[in-house]
Formats: sequence, structure tokens, C-alpha cells
Amino acid sequence: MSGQGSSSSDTVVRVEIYLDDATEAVRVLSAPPFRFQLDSSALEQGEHILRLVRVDAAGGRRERRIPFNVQHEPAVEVVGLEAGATVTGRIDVDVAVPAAAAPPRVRPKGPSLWLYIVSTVVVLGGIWAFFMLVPMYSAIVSAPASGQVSASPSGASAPPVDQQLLKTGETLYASDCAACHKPSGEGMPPTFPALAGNSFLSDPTAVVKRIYDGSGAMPSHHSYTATQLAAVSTYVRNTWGNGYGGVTVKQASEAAPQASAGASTPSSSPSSSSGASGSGAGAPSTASSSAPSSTPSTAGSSTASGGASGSSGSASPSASAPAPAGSGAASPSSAAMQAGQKLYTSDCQSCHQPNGAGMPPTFPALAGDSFLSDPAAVVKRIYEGKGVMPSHPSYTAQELADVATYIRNAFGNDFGPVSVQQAKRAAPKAAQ
Amino acid sequence: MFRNDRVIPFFTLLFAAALFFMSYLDGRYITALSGGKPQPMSVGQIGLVSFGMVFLVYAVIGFVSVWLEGVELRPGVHRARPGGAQWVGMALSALAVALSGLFVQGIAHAMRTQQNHPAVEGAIFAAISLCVAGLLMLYKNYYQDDEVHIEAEDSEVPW
Repeated sequence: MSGQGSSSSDTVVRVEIYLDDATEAVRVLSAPPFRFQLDSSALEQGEHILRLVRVDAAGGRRERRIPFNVQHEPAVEVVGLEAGATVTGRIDVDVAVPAAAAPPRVRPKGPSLWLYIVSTVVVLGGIWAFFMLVPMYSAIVSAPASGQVSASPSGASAPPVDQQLLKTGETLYASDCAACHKPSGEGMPPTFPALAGNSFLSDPTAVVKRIYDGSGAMPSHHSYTATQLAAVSTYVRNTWGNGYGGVTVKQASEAAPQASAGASTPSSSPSSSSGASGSGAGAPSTASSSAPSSTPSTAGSSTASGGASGSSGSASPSASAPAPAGSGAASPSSAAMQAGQKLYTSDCQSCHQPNGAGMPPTFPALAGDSFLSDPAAVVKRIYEGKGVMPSHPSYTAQELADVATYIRNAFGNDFGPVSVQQAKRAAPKAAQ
Repeated sequence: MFRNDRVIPFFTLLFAAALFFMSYLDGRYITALSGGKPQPMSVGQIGLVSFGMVFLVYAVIGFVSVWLEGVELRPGVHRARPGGAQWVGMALSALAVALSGLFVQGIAHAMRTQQNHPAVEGAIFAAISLCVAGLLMLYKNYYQDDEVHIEAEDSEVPW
């Protein structure tokens, strides 16, 4: 078939090839040579019509119809031996086997519906399972829509919450726990686990024991009274969406028998908890209950008289051990040391420990830490924080100077005082 | 695997749903941490949603392609048969006009009250865009002839 012509009506632009009455062409030949292969094995046995439509440049269409017959049987043809032939001796017989019959043209089918269903269940279910199996997420995922965590593992209703204990617990938490577990209860995983949605809190005995004895990076609180233990436990179990119910002083006493009873023992009846704040009993850390870390107001303005800069103060570092570095530095004033110690007790010692030994490697030891030799770096670190070390943006320059002076001259250190001017230079954004 | 199958668009859609689901669960986690108060989207959520949007768009393109061209391309001229598509087109056009009026009304309201509602305005505009996209798809599928050519493997066409 050729498409060469002189006029536009003779110029063949393509040849469309159809089979039988089909409206869609099986082939479209657009350039010479107009040649194609017809696979008769894919056709049903019987008569067929091959339609060739010649399309010229002017859009004219001319059709030619070629009827033909498809015969699939016999499957083999014999050449060299015809029916009825008389033969003698050896003869060559060729058996012509047509190409293996192509499978009938089947419209390809996609994957079954089950593949889609199973894939959906596996992918979305896997994500759901991940959130269910990872402890950090499990309580959130299983929580009701209201955001309240279910009361207890056994499904029993949560015990009543003593509001006075809750309030006391909030104060204690702010002063002793929030630095690591954050005011929002989200903690700093993995070192400091989140308390919000933490299923560990469902067991009041375990909570009290953990607070009292500590574990790993969690410091012990042996100075806490049973009332304070109950207060903090009640607070963490019933805040940030938690709803595990209150903890009584009796429960706390049973969980931590070594803890002193506290100034009052009101808990057996929630209504009698007027003394539940329990700031008494001489517990050291309770002193901070009136001064949450965010507002360390007790930092004596009385020490603001530049005690830090004074070198005449007689209060030398509390320990007599030789200083690791900076020996011979000017001695800080006792007022600055006292103010700094007060702040350190309320805001720092739960991690860095009262003796400055810290809990390495998470909380570095301050005793003998050469990092403290640079007063600007110390002030900056206290003010801005770093890593697990929280920032203290509420500190004034005076308070920064006091704390820096204290830690640089306590625990056997002898790095000298830090003046308010130095603190201002290191932390220019700090309040005056 | 066929030339224009539905398998890839389906799994793309599934992955998009998975990313959106993860973002949702992450949001619940953050909300619970903050005591039940809804919080702005975190960086992680924004990342998940962004990739989810990419997957979603890719999946939609795949499904639209299957709808417009079929699973398998057949050579020859394919005449468009409008059928009853004009009614759908008219409905979509009317909806687009109504949404446009609503959009203008929203802008005028924001100017009067000095209170903007970007989420509402964005949603209306997105709906208008979807209507226009639907109209274009209708036109392509029902009012535009198609012709499929076949090229020999050794032809001059580069692909």
C-alpha cells in the first residue's frame, strides 16, 4: 500500500485499520511503508472483515473492505505429503506448526478489591497501633474525646481530689518539679518523661514512691512530708488532662513510711485539710513553696547593694576543699552568697543537688566545674538555659549575679564573685 | 501494571490519608499535653500535612487521568459524546457563581467590620477552584474529541 500522490486529495496522511465492525482502529499507519502484522490467532475462528480506511490530506476517507476467513484447525500443516499421494522410499515431510496460539485478548484487570482493603487496614491500622503501643502516646490515643484520661486501670471511678492538697501540690510542683517536667507537664523526653497522659500516674503508691525515693535522673525528695507527697501526687495525677483522682496523706504515708507525717494530718477527711499545705515540718524544700521558680522574688533585694562586687566579704566558699581553678579570687559577700543559696535551693538543687554534685551526665556537677570560671558564660547559661537546663527569664540581673556568685564559690569552688554589672553585660535582657 | 492504572493513585491516596492521620493524632497528643486547650499546628504537623497534600494532589491527578483517558489507550479518533454532562456543567457553573458572590460578600463584610475570617474565605475560594476544575474536566471528557496516534518504536518521535 502506498500513499504517494500529486494533489492533496491523493496524499495519504494515514491509514486506519479496523476489524469487523469495530469503531476503534487496531492500527493507524501514518508513514510509509504501510505495513503491519495481523495476528489471526487472536481472532475467533470464522469470517472476518479487514477494513482499511485511507485518509488523505484533504480529510477525505476511502474505505476498502477485505473479507477473510480465520481457520485455527488443523493446528499443524504437512508439506511434502499430500492426502492420497503414493510414496515410496524415504520422503521429506515438513510439519508446519503455526506460532503458538496467543492467549485471547483479555482486558487486563487491576488488583482485587481485597488488596485495596487489606492495604488500607494495614497502613492506617499500623499508625493507630504505633500510637497505641508507644507508651508516650498510648494514653492520649485511648483517652476519651474530652481529653480526660480514664480514672484508673481497673476502671473504677477516680478518688475525690482534695482541692487544698491540689493547690499545695501546684506550688510544690512549680518550685521543685517544673524545671524538668515543665509547667505544662510535657517534660523533656526521654530524660524527663511527660506527666501529661502518663499512665504510670494511675498507681498512687508508685507515684508517691517515685517522688520520695527518686529513680535515675529523678532526684529523691526525702525531705518531703507525707502531706507534701500527697499534695504533689494529687497535683500531677489531676492536671494537664489527667484524671486519676486524689491521693490522701494516709496513702502517701503507707507508700513512703519513712516520710514524716507533716505539720498536720488532715487528709483522712478532705474537708479538714486546712493545714494540708504542710509547709511546716521543717522540710527544706518547702521554703520554696512560696517562691515558685518563675518568680524567685525572695532573691533578696537586700543583697542588691553590690555585695557581689564586694571583695571584702568574709564569707568564703562553704567548703574548704581546694578550689580547682581560680584560686585566690576575691571573696564574695555573705549577703550575695546567702541570696544565691536561697535561689539555688529553690530552683537549682533538685537537679544539681544540695552539695553541687549534680547527677552526671544529665546534670553536671558544679563542684569543681571549670566552666564556672567564666562569669559571663555562667550568667548566660543560667539566664538562657541550654539543653535540659531550663532558662530563667524572670531572673533579674541581681538574682543572676547572686546565683552565679553562689555556685562559683560554693561546693569548694573559688572563682570569685559576679557583679551585677557583669550579669547585666552577660544578660542584657534581664530585668534590673 | 498498565499504562494508566488506578493502583498507584490509590496507594498515593492511602499514604496521604496516613500522613493526615498521623498529623491528627499528633495534634491530639499536643492538645492533651496542654491540658485540652487547642494549640497551633506544630512544625511536625505542618510537615506531615504538607507531604500529605503533595500525595493527595498526585493521587487526584492519577484518578482524573484514568477517568479522562481510560485505563488503556486505544488508537483512533474518539468522538466526544456529551450525554447528560451539560446538566452537571450547569450546576457546577451556578455553584461557582454563587460561591463567588459569597466570596465577595465575605470580603465586603471584612471591610465593614474590620474582622477578617481567612479560613472561611480560603475555604470558599478553594470550593470555587474545585468547581472550575470540575468544569474543565467535564469539557475535556465530554466536549472535546480525542485522537490517539501510534508511533513505531523506530519513529522519529523522541519518546
